[in-house]
Amino acid sequence: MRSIILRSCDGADHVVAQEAACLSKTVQSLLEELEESTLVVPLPNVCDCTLRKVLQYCTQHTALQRRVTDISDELRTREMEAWDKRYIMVSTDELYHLVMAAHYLNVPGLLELCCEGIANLIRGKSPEHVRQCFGLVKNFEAPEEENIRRTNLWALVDEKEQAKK
Amino acid sequence: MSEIDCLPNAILVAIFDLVPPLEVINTCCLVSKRFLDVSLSPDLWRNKVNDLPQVLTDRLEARSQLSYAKIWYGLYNTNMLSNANWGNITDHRNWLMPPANGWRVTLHGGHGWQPEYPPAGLDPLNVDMLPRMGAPRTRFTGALASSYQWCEVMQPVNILLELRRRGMETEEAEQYLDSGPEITFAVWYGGRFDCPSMAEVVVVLDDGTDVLPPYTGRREFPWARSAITHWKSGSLTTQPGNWKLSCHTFKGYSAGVRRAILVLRGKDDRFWAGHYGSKFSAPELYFGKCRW
Repeated sequence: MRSIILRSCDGADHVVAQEAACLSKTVQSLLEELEESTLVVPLPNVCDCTLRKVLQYCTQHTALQRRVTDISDELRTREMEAWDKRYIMVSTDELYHLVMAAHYLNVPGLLELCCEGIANLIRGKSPEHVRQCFGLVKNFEAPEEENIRRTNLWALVDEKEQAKK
Repeated sequence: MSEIDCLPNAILVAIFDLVPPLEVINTCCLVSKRFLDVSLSPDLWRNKVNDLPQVLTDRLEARSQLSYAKIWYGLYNTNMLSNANWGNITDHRNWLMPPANGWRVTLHGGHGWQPEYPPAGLDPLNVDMLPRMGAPRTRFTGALASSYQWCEVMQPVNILLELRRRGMETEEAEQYLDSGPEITFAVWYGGRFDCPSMAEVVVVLDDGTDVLPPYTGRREFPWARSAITHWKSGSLTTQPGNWKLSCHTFKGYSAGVRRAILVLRGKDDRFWAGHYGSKFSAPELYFGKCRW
């Protein structure tokens, strides 16, 4: 098994199995472009701690994938889901960095997992709560907001109904 | 600037895709301008709406009043039936007049139909009903109870008109209907805890040209001859003190459908005076699969 070195933007090196690193489509295509002999792949858009977290995902998933023989498919999916759930329990800040990294490195599974994590933060909240949660500033003027409400009238849930939630 | 604003649009779309669509319209829209742009963008909604006619998708980008989001909501989340909570239908002579309240009473056996708020001898049906297009979401609690001989109520729905109410042009609506999209009719029926009863549901899809006959007083269903396709539930036995769902989805029917006719029928099994027959609640007609 070939090992390669991924270098983050702040110059830290991470040694990983090629198989795991190739979960990232970006790394895979970079490896194909670079010569056979190169073992160091520079990743200028990812910082050290995020890269470590991403690689944790990659190694875990390849390891589980490789254990084809000793566990059934169903058990493996369940194990993977449980692991994913624990893995995504990070701070909101970390989640952004992770989603950006997953987008840049193009790891489809991880990207989906992160989106799910952020979507969970939005679900079942009022606009005001969502704003608080993401530290956003309300950049609507009052008449503007009224206007959106009016144009979306076809779907807006009653205020009372929303308060009940 | 918050960190979430740094995310590219494609990722925000992927995130919103995982939030329930109604919450996207109700919540995400009102968070910030960026959220508004993304939450109503065609990218997010395009694959939620199936088999729209080509003419519509071509024109959709240019229209400010109509969006994929609005079409998604209008087709799959609004009720095409009017007066789904049985207001003002006690007068059986209503068949003489155009049905301003939606329903026509076509059979008035025994003591006739009786709207009940809340239903007697049975817990109210506790489900979220689809609203009419443009109406607020409300929870209905009423039921329509039948009597000791067959009672029948029907409602013709001009589907073409309903599609135009949802913002489509006539031509687009016709093309959409001719492509045979899935249409679902669902109604809940139940019986009193103390009296067994029967119910029957008939749904007809036709071209809408046939004039509906007036009050017949007979049990036969005379409109089936103009039908392009139809569905009969057969005789349903209600479960005492409980609600059951009767639901049918039409799909792959041939072109030309312009109208739906819904017929609900019920009576009790003991021939008791009063309104001991089967009850109906929350009738819904909408595009797409059955949501229950």
